[in-house]
Amino acid sequence: MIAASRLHVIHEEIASVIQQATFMIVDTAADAGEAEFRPNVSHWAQVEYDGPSQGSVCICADWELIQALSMNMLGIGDTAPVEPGKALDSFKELANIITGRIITLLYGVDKVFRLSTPQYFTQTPLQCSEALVYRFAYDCEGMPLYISLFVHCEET
Amino acid sequence: MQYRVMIVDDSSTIRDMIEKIFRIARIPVREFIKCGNGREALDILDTAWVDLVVTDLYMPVMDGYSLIREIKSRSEFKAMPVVVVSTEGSVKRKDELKAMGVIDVLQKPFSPEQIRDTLVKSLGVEV
Repeated sequence: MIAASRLHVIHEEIASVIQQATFMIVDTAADAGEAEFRPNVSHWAQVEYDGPSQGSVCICADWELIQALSMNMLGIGDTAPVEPGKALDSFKELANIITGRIITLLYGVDKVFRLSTPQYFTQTPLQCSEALVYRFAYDCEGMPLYISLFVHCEET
Repeated sequence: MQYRVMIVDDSSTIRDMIEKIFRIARIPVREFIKCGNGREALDILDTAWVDLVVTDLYMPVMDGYSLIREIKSRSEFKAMPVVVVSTEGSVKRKDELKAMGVIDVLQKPFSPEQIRDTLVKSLGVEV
């Protein structure tokens, strides 16, 4: 189990990472607990990690946020929507960046992990039933972003 | 001096983000050359000199490790500075890459100040 104080640090730090990557104003949402986690959205990006521990990180958002974060990451104006393939590439890369930072925060800088290529899903990706799950919620300029951390296997 | 910078990453978003960060950092760049993997990068390097290679590690076809090994093993490219931009923050991996001849390893997302510091210290870039 990850201590609540550590989860709090991760929650806060990842807000800064999202802000730095997307150039958006990002706040931690009121609670990252299960009860408040209501991902009624249909766009998911997942990155699996493998090393001393195994697991995965999923992020989910609605299309409005994916478009907004892509426009910001690419540094283009909001006069026209970003082409869907490009927007999804941005979304998947955000998942990649967040996963890399969560792993560093969770396991430290001495451990070496290998990250999978980010995958896109239109529904919740299947996970190991025995995984420990931790949820984080964010407000990105009024739009919700949810992150789930699945720890499949404890450190060996 | 105006630099020719090669950006190697399989994500077009990251390639564009890196270009944007270079511009915000006011690094004097004459041209950005963008490649989706190490193989594409080597094909271009066979025909054109670049002043700096900024590469990701995990890419299809040819990854960043293989690209760095190729660059550092060939006499015509050996002096070419390489910066790695990766999602990982492992110190062990960073040390491995520096031992391979990489001048710095930056964890994504990195700031304009970080890349500027790296290039000023390692290459004497004037901004």
